[in-house]
Order: sequence, then structure tokens, then C-alpha cells
Amino acid sequence: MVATESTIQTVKDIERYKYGFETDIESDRAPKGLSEDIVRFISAKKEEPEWMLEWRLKAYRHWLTMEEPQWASLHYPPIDYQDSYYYAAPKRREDGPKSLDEVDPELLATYEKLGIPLKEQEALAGVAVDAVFDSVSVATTYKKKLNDLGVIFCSISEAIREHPELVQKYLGSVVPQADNFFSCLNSAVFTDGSFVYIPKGLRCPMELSTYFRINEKNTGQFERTLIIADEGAYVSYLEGCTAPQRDENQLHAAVVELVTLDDAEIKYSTVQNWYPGDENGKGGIYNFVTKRAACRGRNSKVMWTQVETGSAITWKYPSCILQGDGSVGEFYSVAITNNRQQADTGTKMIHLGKNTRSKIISKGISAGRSEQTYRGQVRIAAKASGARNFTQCDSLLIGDQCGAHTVPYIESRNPSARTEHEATASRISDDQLFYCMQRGLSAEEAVGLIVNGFCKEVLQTLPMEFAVEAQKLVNISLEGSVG
Amino acid sequence: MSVVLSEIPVVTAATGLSPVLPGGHLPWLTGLRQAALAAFQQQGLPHRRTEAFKYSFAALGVVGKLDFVPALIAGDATLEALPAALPAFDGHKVVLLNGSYAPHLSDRAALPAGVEVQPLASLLARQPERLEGLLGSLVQYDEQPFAALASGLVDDGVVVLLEAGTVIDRPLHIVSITLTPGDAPVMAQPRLLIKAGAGSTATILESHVALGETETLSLPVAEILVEPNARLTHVKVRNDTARALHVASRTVKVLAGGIYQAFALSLGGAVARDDIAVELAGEQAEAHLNGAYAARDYQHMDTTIHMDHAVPNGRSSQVYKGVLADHGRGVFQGKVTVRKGAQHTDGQQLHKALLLSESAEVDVKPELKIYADDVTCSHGAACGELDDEALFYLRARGLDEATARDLLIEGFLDDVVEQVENDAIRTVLAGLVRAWLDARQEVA
Repeated sequence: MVATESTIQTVKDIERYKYGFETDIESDRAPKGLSEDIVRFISAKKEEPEWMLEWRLKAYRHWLTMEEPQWASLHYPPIDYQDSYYYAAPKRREDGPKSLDEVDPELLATYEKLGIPLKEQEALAGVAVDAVFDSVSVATTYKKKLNDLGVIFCSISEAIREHPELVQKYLGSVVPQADNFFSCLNSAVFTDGSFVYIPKGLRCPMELSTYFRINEKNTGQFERTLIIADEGAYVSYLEGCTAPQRDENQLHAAVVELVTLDDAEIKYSTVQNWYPGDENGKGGIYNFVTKRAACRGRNSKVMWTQVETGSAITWKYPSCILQGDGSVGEFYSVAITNNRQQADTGTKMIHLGKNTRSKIISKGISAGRSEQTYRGQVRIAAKASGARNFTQCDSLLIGDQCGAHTVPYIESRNPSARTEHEATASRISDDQLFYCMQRGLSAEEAVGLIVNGFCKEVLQTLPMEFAVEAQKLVNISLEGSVG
Repeated sequence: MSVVLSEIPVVTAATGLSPVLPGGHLPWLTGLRQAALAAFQQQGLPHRRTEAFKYSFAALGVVGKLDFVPALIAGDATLEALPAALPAFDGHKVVLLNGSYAPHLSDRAALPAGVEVQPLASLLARQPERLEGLLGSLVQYDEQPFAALASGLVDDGVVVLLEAGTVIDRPLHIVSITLTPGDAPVMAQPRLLIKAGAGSTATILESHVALGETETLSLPVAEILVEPNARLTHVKVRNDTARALHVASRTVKVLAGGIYQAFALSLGGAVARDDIAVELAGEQAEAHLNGAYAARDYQHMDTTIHMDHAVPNGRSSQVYKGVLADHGRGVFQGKVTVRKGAQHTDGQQLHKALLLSESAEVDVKPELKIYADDVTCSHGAACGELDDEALFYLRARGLDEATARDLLIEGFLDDVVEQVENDAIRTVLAGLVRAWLDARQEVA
């Protein structure tokens, strides 16, 4: 009997491999490893101008002198940077599954739970969609409308070719090439990402999302995103999606740069649900992300919201440099780790301008054997009179095998500035559980409800549709952690 | 990194020096000194990348730039009477001068039965076996290079042994005075070893004062064992002159049902760093660390705490308050660890700082490291200036600005000072806070 089961499992595994998301290794992939030649190869493939190549090479040469940071409380085997592919041409459509029938049923079940429409499921699973799937046309319609308003929304490669003056002015101005090990690597080899420019005074009428571009290209392993909100502009940008995403690249090192000028506002929401590895911690994405916003203008505002449920390793600190007087930085985060996941995430709020304000709300939920760290910094410079910070970090522990850590750094150099920091760690109380279960909820539903309540402050800052999906995602991420 | 200190003959030749130091004939003690010196040499002085000294390595850089001479070599300092800077306090008294026992200033006559207060050096000479396995058993040298250096040169200090069930009637006052005998900057390493036997109760006041106009470096190392159900109250007061450097290390282990209650008041000096590590090693153990500090001029004050909940049902709390005037800089790093299995832990921490000037700075790093789920842990940190409304309230009632401000600052600090249970000690502390404010007024 056992033997039969194992055979069935093997067959399933083979199927999964067959219809999974492996691409054939063909000529459109650069050889393994990293060298100046690879950097040149990427630049050439992207048909980049000379200055871009020089920029990449400068980053690469500096990267060679850097050491991988060890300060985060993350444990993973050493990464062999010569054992990765740094360039792969976009997947060809015919490589993907032909229809949803060929897609891993487990994945479909998850989509079902998230309530994702059928058409979108196809897109997410990488089904080769033709005219049937109208999101392409929807996207095209949107693009035209944005174009008419003067919004530039394209891939970073396109921007380098079409809008070099903007790219040259802002690229690397928030996250310099040599900022850190991973951002430096990204600067040398980034292959994809988005570029957004919102012109003066425009309130972008729709939420922009990488989602629109999903059929054009695969999101790369080294994404580079640059968003500029000119004076008085407003944009809400969504990154990622709630559906689990598979990717054969284990190492991800993205860089996101945001720039707001006077009175401008950017709202950047992320839902990250990359493959977290199995329950024993095998496989899973290593996600080393550098995200930073420069609030350059007076009264400008940046709001980071993140829901981090995926990845085996998360290393991510979306930050705000509050340069403009009266500028505002906000950071809302929900991080959920289960099984063997590890997350070291938080934010930096650097107050430079007068009357700058920042708010940090971080909710961490650790379950299983996972480890989670909130690492944050609030710095009030000597000239930041009247600056104000409020930080709240709450950790929820589910089970006695997980870990939750809080490491905030608070540096204040101005007497008229006020900083407040609070952190708590606790578990779901038996009383709460009993109360819910007495009213007919299963243990799992009860935990989902309580955890959703715990995260509510953060989830409600997400755009509506996203928030609904994120709530369901919270439940799914904690499956198997109780009972 | 310039580690002039390690080039001082006495440090490099310390192994050869060991026989000259008290208990130099004891292999275990020699081994302990050598291990400590090796730990110091391996770490060197803190630098930019030493996380534990992130905010204080620069201020402590002076240690590497000056040729501090160990008191042993600098020669004997003499002092006829206790200095005025020291809190006048009526109690049992042991005085250390540059880390060495000063009998003519001490008063151990009236100690009750069951309480033994011995100079370390004399105990090492007479009954070293009583210290073997106790001295150096608690202090850890990781990220504590100064404690390692001090342990490598350990020569004298105070040993307090409380027999099971004893109760000290009056507080025991342990005084440590640092004073340069000549012109060269002097370095001393007063050692404190306390073993509070099961069920004993005691209150200890530990005073540190540096005198004179020359730089002094005091490296006190304290090891404290609180045995089951013992209750130890430990108040530390530091009131140094402008050139004094003070880098203290304290390691405390509290066994089942034991209570360790500490308070620290930090005033004066150039740079002060207090490393306090507490391990709650038995169930129902408690540790409460409170403190207040006030820095002005270019003073730098750093308190670094590690509260380690190793077993279930422990309770800990920390409340620290700091006032930073002029170019004063305050640092507070407080870590609470809850180890795997340490369920039902209650760990709280609060740090508040008041910035009084444009040039003052405070850096806070509260940290939670939690590996158990059924716990209640929290920390809070707040920094800001005096509340405008409170100031207005007082001014509206006829107080002038300066008096109103002082009243608010005093109230801010008294809030923690009031937690000290012993009336006599609390009065001394409140007096020192008041004196600090008055001295500041005079300067203004």
C-alpha cells in the first residue's frame, strides 16, 4: 500500500516537474556565472546606451570589493554567485502549460481560496493565453489613457532607451550603487523592473501595478524600479500579488527607488508571496531587497505598505529619507513566517528636514519553526526641529519553536523632536481562542480571525481589492500552524 | 586601530607579571588571568564595527590614545579622608583606593554574624580555595574587552559572602576611589564579588568617585550570585570628575526565587559605560534594574543591559531615565532574551530621555529576542524635550523659567529615584540629583 502511494507521489512529482515552471535552457540564456562579459552581455541584450553600460560596470567593479553582510539574524548556506544565471530571455509562451488543466492542482486550490478570477489564475500560472485573455487589451487601454495624461509607465529598459534624461537624473540617486552588497549586485546585473514618472500636479487616476505588465515579460530576478512623483503629483503603486508565485531563481535582489518632490505623494504597496520552501526549509526564494524613498520636496509623503508572507529568506528594509521640510514617511508591515522561514525586515526613517513626521507600524507573526526580526532605525538629525516619530512593533508567536525579535535603533539629536517607540511580544491568548471556538469557529478559523484583527491596522492601508486578498492570504499562510 | 593599551608593558608582560599579583602562585588564577588577557588581545579596543559599542567606541577612543598606567605600577595613591564628592552615608564601609583595599578609610567592625566582607587580595593570600570556582565564573568576555583587560590584571577588590538566611541590618557601603598618584593617567580595576546565600537579605550601596584633574580609567568588574530566595538590593552611584573614564561590567546570576533589585545613578565624568548582564537562571527569579543619568558638557553615558530569561516563570523590569544637557550624549542599549522553553516570562523595559539642548544626543537600542510563545514582553522608548504645557502651568503659578524647568527635570528623574526602597539611600540619591541641577544653574 505504502509502495503504491509512493509511486503515485513520484508520478505526481514528475508531472509537477513537467508542467511546472521550468524553462528549457536554450541559447537565449547567458552562461552561468558573473563577470564583466556577462554585464556587457546583459547591457547589449537590452540595447542600452554606453553610459548605462559604464554605470553597470562601475557597480560591478565595486561589488567585487564588497563583502556580503552578516549582521542580519538570518542563517543560510553561503551563496555561490558564480553558480547562477544572470540573464535569461523571457519565457516563450509555448513553454507554459496549455490550459489550467495542466497546472498543479495545489496551486489552483490556493487561487481558489484567494478568490482570484479564472482569467487571472491563467495569467498567474503562466498559461499561454491568447485572445481569450483580455487583460492584454485591458492593459493596452490603460496604457493609452496614462499616456494621454503624461504619465510614463514602462519597463526600466524601455525608460533607459526612451527617457535617458530622467533615468540619468534619478537612477542611483536614492540607492547609490555602492549602498550595500545586494544593491550593488543589482546595479550591475538588473534586467527588468518598472519606471514610473507622474508629471506635475497630476493625481494618477488609477492604481499602477506590475500586474499590467505581467504578460509582456517575466518579472526578473534582479528587478529595478524607479518611481518619480513630480511636484504635487500622486500615485499608488502595487507590487507583486497575493497569489503564490513560482520562480526557478533562488536569489532575488531587487532595488526600488522612490522620489517625491514638493507636495507629491507615493503610496507603494507590496504583497510578497514567493515560494517559501517546503516545511523542512528545503528550497525557497532568498529575497534581498533594497527599497528606499527620498522625500525631497516640502510636504511630500511616502507610504510603504508591505505584506510579506513568502520567501525562505527575507532581507528588506523599505526606508524614507525625509529631506523636505514637513515631509512624511509611513511604514506599515505585516510579516508572516511559518515552517522554516526567516525574515529580517523593518524600516529606516531618517529625519533631516524640519517638522518631518514618520510612523512605523510593524506586525510580525511567527509560527512553526520560523524566525523573524524587526530591525529598524529612526534617526533625528540635529536640524530636524519639530520632527515626530511614532513606532509600534508587535510580535505574535504561535507555537513554542519559533522566534520573534525586535531590534530598533533610535537616534535623536534634536531636543524639539519627539520619538516614541513601543514593542510587545505575546501569543494568542487562550481566552480569545476559546471565545471564538465557543461560537463555532474551528481552531484554524479562530486563529485566522484573531491574526487578521492583529494586522488590521496595516491591512486597511492597502488598496481595497488587495486588502481583501491579503486577509485571505494571512489565513492561508498560517495553515497547519495550529491544532 | 591603535591599541596603545596592549603595548603597555604590563599588559603584554602580564603573564610574567602574574606571580607578582596577589595569588600569583595559584594555577587556576593564573589560567584565568591569561584567558582574560587573550580575550582582550583578540578583541582589541572597540572600533567602528563593534556592534556592542556602536554608539560609544568613539568616545572611548581616548583609552587607546593615552598611556594609562595600571595602578600597580603608578605607585600608591594616598588619601587621608573620604572626599566630599562621596555621598555621606552611615553604614558598614569598605573603601578601595585605585582598586586596592584602604583599611584606614574602611569600617567593618560592626558587621553582623554570617556576613563576611573581605578584601580580595587578602582572601587570595589566606584562603584562596574559597574563591576557586567563584571568582571569574560569571563574567563573559564576549563584546566586553574592558572586562577582559580588567580580569587579566585582577588584583584586589571586595568579596562579600552572605551566609544562608542572614540579614544585614544597615546597608553595606562599598566605595571605590580613583586617583592619580603622579601625573600619568592611572588605570584601576576594582573587583567586586558578591554571593548572597539562600534566603539572605542585604542592601549594598556601591559608590564610585574619581578625583583630580588627570585622566583616570576605572574598570570595575562585578560578579554577583543571588542564591535561591535571597533578596539583594544593589544601588550604584557614580559621581566622577571631568576627566574620568569609567567602564564597568556587572554579571548577575539569580537562582530560583531570588530577587535582584538594582538602581544606578550616573553623574559626571567624561565617559561612562555600564555593561550589566543578568541571567534569571532559576524559576520564579526576579530582576529589576532601574536607573537615572544626567549628562552635561561633553559627557557621554552608556548603559548596556542584557536581561536573559533562561528558565520559565521569570520576571524582569527595567526603567531608565536620562537627562542630556549641553553636548551631553546618552546611550541606552537594553536587550531582553527569552530562551527556548522560558515560558510565562514577564519582561518589561522602558527608557525615557529628556533633551535639554540643541547639541545633546540620545541613542537608544532596545532589543527583544524571544524564543518562547507564552510570554509577556514589551519595551518602550521615548525622547523629547520638556513639555511646554507643564512649563506653562508652572510659570502661570509664578515660577520663573529656570526654576520651573528644574522642577520638571527633577520630577522626571525622581520618578525612578523614588523606586529605591531604602530611605537613607533614596535621600542621598535625591540630594545628588538636586546638587546636579544647582550646579547647572550656577554655570548658566
